[in-house]
Amino acid sequence: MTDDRRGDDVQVASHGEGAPAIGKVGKLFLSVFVGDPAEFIGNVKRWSGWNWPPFFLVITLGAVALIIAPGGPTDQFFWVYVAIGTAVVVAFCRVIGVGSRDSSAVWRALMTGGSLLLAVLGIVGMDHLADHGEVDVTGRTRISPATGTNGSRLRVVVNAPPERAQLRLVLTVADAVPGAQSCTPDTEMALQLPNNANTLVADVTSGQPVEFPLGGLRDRIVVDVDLLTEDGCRMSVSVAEAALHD
Amino acid sequence: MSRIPLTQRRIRPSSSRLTPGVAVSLFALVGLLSCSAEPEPEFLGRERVTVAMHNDLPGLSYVDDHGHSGLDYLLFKHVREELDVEFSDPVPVSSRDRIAQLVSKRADMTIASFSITPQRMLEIDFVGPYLKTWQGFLVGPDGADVQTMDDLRGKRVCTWDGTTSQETVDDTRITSEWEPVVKDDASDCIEALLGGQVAAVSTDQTILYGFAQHHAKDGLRVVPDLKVGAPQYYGIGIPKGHRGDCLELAAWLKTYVGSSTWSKDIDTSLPLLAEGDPERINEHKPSTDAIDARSCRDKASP
Repeated sequence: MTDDRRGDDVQVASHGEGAPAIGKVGKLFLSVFVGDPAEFIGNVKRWSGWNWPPFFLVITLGAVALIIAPGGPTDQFFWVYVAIGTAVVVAFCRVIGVGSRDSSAVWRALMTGGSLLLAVLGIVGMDHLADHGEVDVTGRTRISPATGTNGSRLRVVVNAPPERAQLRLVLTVADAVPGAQSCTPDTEMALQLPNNANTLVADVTSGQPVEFPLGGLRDRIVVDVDLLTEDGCRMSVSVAEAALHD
Repeated sequence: MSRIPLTQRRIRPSSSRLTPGVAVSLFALVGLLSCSAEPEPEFLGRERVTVAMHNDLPGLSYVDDHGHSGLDYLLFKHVREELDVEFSDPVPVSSRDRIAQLVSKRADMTIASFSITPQRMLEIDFVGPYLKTWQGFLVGPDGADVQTMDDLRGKRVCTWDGTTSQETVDDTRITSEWEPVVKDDASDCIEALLGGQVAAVSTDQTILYGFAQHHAKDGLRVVPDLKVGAPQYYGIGIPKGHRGDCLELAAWLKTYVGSSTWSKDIDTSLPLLAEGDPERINEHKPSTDAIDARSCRDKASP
């Protein structure tokens, strides 16, 4: 194959066995990344047919990333969404030929490659979050009994938790007899994983987050909650938030 | 008459024309006007504040031929001295009407052994607590054997409407197996106890100690160390919408509760509360944190 380059004009010629096939693949490759081969030498055609395949590829990769997205707080997905969004915008700019009058074939190739790279990063990032990101497990967390008095032991159970290194738990305490008592300010809790005194967190008040280290995969996570309040007070305890994270 | 340009009609400085007498008169007039223009001091949006109080709870807020007495009344007097605003004479209120009276603006402030609860905090603001107490039992001469909760099993226990005590008796009657009797007010329950129609009266110990002292000759006594339900925190009730005034009053209340005046007021009004053990008064003293957590809020802070 010879490459005869004069100024902006490029002519490609191939010789030998299989040369036509190699030439066609190369042409396809160039078409995908740079645009219509009849046009990429000069100005790119706006809305050209060869501009669409990389765009649809980026759209497909972005859709896959969204489909495999795990649950959890939305802020952890920020950079992934930024990557996918940027990929789509760049790919679309490439389709409509933004700056095509001044841009060279290399610049167009960079736009295509960059958008594809960002879309792939979106998928990789989402896959990473699915394995290591924060997972909201409030819906599968139960506390029983839901009310208690001074000295009561309550038990929080997270069923079928995904494997993560830490549990963040936020419990809310309220007066169980709101017409007859005002005990919330005088109520505290002591939380710990069963049979693990090292994990004890005392003097926890309503709405205060508590972190527990977890070890390995398990079919459920259990946290014991000891209620400390004034004698005669009956308190309701509920799970405001339970989240697993690394 | 020729028109004089405005610039030429400028009046000379008046001071040069004023005689000393006119100057003094003008000065006095200006002074008088400025005095009358100054707005009257207000609290809770009122130039004259109306306070609602019980008049049938000895030791807390009681009216007889000698006038008003009790801890709530002493607190009212301190508040009146503290705030730079006029107060009308206290108006009577029943336990049941305390919130309605504030909400309907028939009273601007309620000092009436008013327990702070989350439910009430949704309707009105509280400044407090200024006293902590527990629900106990008052028995008559027939109840000399009553020492524990079991001794009241199957007996008639009186409370009155619109109180947290009534809610507690309702809440615990299944486990305690009392027969609750609900009257309109405190005096009805005391009459029922004196008449032998009920075995005990159950409400806040501060109220019961007041009645025990008032009816000492009738042999009424508070069962020592017998408590039921959660501690009660008395606060001053005010309508919502006056957070600035509320916080001002709360700041003063913290100082009052921490002072010796508070202890003296308890000792004067409820001498039986800490009889034989002056340190017991401190059990009824709320902390500064307790006041901060419950004052001027829609719900208590944890």
